[in-house]
Amino acid sequence: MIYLDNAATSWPKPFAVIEAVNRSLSVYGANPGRGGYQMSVDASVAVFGVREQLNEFFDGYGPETVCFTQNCTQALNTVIRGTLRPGDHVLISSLEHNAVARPVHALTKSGEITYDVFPVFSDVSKTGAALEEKLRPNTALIVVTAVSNVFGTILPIKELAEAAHRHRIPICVDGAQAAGVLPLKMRETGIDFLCVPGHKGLLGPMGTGALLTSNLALRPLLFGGTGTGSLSLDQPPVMPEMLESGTLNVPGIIGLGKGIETVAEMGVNTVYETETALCRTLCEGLRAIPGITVYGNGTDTPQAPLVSFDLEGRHSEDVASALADAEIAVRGGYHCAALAHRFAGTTETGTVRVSPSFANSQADINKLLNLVEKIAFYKNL
Amino acid sequence: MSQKFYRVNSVTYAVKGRDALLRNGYRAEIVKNPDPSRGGGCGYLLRVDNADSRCLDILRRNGVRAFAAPEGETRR
Repeated sequence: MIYLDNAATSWPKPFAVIEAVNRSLSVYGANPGRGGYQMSVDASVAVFGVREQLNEFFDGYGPETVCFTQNCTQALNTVIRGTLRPGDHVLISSLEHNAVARPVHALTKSGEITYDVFPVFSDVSKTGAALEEKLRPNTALIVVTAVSNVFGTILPIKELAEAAHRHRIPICVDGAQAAGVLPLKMRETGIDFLCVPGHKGLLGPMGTGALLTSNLALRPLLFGGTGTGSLSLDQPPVMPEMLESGTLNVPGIIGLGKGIETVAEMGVNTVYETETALCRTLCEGLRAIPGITVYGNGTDTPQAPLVSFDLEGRHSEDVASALADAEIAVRGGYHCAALAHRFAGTTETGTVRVSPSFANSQADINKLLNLVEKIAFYKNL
Repeated sequence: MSQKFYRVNSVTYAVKGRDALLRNGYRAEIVKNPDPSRGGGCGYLLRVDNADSRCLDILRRNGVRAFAAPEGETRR
């Protein structure tokens, strides 16, 4: 199989990640932060090591501000539900994933908050102006994705953070597609909350993610055991355990640490350049096929290394299915991003999304192009 | 120099504090608070075998909120 769905989850995982997960099940088999015996303490130390790795990788505010989550969605929900109060207003971009749009929409439907969507343009100043135009006196949070998961559009996070801070509003960044592929630096860029998955560009196992905060207060999404202050029925207000009720996914976290190590050794810029070169070949090839529309990539604006396209007269799921029959894994449909498809006018057929990794080759892309050409030519394929 | 115990807020701060003390030449270990009924319930202590008056300062400079544990708290 040629795997080109790394925007959904990266595969194959490095052998070092698989080995680390396997080893952790034996070596770190005790519950961290619960016992005083050696294996429990060792597990706590190992988990702390991965907090340090994440903090360093994302230029964070200290390992104790790094909270582990099941995924990026849980981290985003924690920020949205943990900061907003009744009567607040929140601003989100037109390219948000449902992980942002749905919790915001749900809180709006229940009458607790209101929200607005600001459009994203290729012109950074236009995007900044669009955001400022939608601000209200009660805007309490801005949530933006670093990269559109459908079109690869890179949002101007630094400029948006500056605009947010001019109005003393915190900014939360969804790093689902950017983490491990593009540099994301919290302090340098002014990010208040950074939500990342562990299993995509960071090469960790599924079921891992993290929320990095700038020490701003958050209310927990989950309440329960933290291993501390057990006699009190109040959730201990100490980060990061305050946001980590229940047993941590230690094997996943240890695997994530190895994934981060792998990416750091390669260098985020190398990953980006390698994957972008593949996307460039793909875009050029797709544009030469009659009936194909390529979205986003290939313009003068820098893009993240993923490509969305559609084929005239065919639903994207049909095309993805035909590719799957030939053992090529891509994703068709709407990619859990209703807002982005409405904004781009692609709600009728969705798009076929191709997201290579540094492990793919130009030969993989050529095979895909060859097959897309056939699908476009033979209507019944 | 003598053995001392320091109470910290969580296991995360225990690891952070232990690392800071080790970097400064102290023999520090993470131990479970032997009497969870004191100090609000379960928690961790740092046991420093060669403790002196600088330990608390090192912990606080490294962002670890710590308190010297009273003698009785370190024994069940």
